[in-house]
Amino acid sequence: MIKIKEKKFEEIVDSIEGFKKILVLGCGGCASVCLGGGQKEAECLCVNLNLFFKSETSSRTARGYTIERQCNIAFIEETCSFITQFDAVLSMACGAGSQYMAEIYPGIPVFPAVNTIAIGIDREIGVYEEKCRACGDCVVGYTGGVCPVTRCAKGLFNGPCGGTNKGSCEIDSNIPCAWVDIYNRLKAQDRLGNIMKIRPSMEWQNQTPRTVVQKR
Amino acid sequence: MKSSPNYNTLVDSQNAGIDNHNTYVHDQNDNDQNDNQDTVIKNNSVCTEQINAILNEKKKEIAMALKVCARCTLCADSCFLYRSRERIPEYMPSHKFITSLGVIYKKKGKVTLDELLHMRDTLWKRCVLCTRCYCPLGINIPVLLALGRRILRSQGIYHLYSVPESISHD
Repeated sequence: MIKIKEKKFEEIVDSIEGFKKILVLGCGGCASVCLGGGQKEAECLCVNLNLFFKSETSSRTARGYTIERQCNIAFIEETCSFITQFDAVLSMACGAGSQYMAEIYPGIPVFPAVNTIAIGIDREIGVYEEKCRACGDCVVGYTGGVCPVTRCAKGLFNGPCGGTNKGSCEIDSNIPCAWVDIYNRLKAQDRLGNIMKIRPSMEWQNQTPRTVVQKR
Repeated sequence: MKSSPNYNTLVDSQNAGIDNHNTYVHDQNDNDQNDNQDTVIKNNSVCTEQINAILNEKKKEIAMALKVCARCTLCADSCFLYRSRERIPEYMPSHKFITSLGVIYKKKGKVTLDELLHMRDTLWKRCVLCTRCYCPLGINIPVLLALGRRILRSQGIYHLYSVPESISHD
């Protein structure tokens, strides 16, 4: 699932400067699951914002509300009856959700209250690890289930680089070298032939938004 | 976009402004199914007026859905959770809707806290709101399930993902 992390409070306050009525909009989807932007987190942010407004003796107010998902119009719809009464929205959804909110309500400024960090797994509650960067051309079938784009600091498709150091990455000895892991995994599965071919580099430039249409 | 007279109901119902006194209480009535979920419950009581305000927004849709549902069970196979949970009837989309929002509607919002806590399991643990459930009669089940969640959220009841839970296939 998508993993998010709340922005620093100062950054949030700075982004909504000049707006009087703020709607803190939580998301009941991924943001809620990773404990970053669900109803509880939206309520907490709301309390903190109102305390801050009170401390500066302003008449600004923040109100909290959570919808089930901000990436689906069916769930955004319920906000249309009251959202126009706010000057700005602080979205606690991922980048997709906050952008969709901004698209649906072009007249209302939508600010992200969270940073979208990764597509990742749950190591345990509250501990998440990035596993995928949605590059759009998955190669883990050839790399023993280890993603070189995510795991390798250089995102190399044909590794390792010269900086690999006794199984660690040159940027940090605590980070295992992705390509050593790929080699070991494939060797254990007797599939080393998978990485003998040179794979062309990814076309990273001139990317445009991707749209998925499943045809079945 | 319609402006709404329901602003206070809608927003205050979930609002956690400084004037709002939410209390955290342990859910003791749900132990058999829902482990240690803490629940944020406003004043430890249910506000029927708030619930009815939300119900009234979709009154026609709810009434129509309850009337139209023929219990044909055709929606069941469109639910991946139902199929992966050994086809337990509680996972049928129609069952989820009828036993949550349907009950709230029929009781005209006069539901107890215990009933809402029980519905939390139905609306969160047995549904991921993937919106893939299909009704041959045209009932928009996910929207109704989302409305059920909205009503529970308005009473401060929702699933907390921060609480570890044993994997149960209830």
